[in-house]
Amino acid sequence: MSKEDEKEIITAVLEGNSEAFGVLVERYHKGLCIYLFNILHDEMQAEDIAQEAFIRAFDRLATYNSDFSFSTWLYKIARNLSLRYLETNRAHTPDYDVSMIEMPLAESAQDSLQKDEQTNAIQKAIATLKPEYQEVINLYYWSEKSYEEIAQILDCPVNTVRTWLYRSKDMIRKELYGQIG
Amino acid sequence: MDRLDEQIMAAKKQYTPNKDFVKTTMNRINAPAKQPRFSWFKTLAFSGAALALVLVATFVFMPKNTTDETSSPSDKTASTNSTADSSSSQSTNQAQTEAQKASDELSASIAELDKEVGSYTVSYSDTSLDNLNQ
Repeated sequence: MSKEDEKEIITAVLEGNSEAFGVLVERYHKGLCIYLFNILHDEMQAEDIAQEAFIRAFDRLATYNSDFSFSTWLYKIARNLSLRYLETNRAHTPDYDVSMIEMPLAESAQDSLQKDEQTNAIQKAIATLKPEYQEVINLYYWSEKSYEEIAQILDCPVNTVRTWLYRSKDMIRKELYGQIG
Repeated sequence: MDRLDEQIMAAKKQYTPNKDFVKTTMNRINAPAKQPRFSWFKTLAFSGAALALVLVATFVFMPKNTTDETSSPSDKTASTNSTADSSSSQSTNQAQTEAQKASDELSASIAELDKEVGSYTVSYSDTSLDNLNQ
């Protein structure tokens, strides 16, 4: 979907055609759910928050700045909601505790990931990273966002994104060589 | 893109969202628009607010009118400065005097009437039914 198509859909929604918003939900829901799943490690919560993000985006569509991509704005809303969720539930699920993050991986229905030792090793290594490093990995590699888009979602300069990505890769490399080698 | 990049990309945790995700999301988005606008809560809230407004208006304006009728001495003093108010006050006093006079006359008439009726009653009581039958 081109940016122009997206603008037309948004204009139609703002003019009262709420059903047109379904095209945007259809287009972005899978990527958004997976992005949230990689933050929350919980499918149900990922879908709940993704749905909430779409509803908020719909309700506040009039405030959307069309200079930016709709998906960037949507991911930013979803990220804020997920961080708020993690903040509220911090007592129950300490999000960046490696031992807690490993549990969903082991219990995940993704058999292919469980069987692949290397994949598990990388996921473990990512789980040890600082939250902001995990986020850039998630957005850059798994959500395929550009540096600029990541900077907009995380509210930070583009160079910071580059630095975080470089450092996170370096840390993963060291972690893997330490484990494998 | 080096080997590590590929490995990180491959480490993406995949899952397929619920197939009804789009449908349920759109239902939730459309739900408020399809619901009837009528709400008992809103109706009661508006009625209550309107009633409160009427009561407040009543309590605000009622004492003000009473005060005007029974104006304080300072108000009266102030009003004597005005010729129009003065003449108004005089005519009021005159009317009160006339009303008092009329009231006195009425009381006198009633007293007189009472007297007449009293005498009639006495004369009627003297007339027994037996005498009438005769």
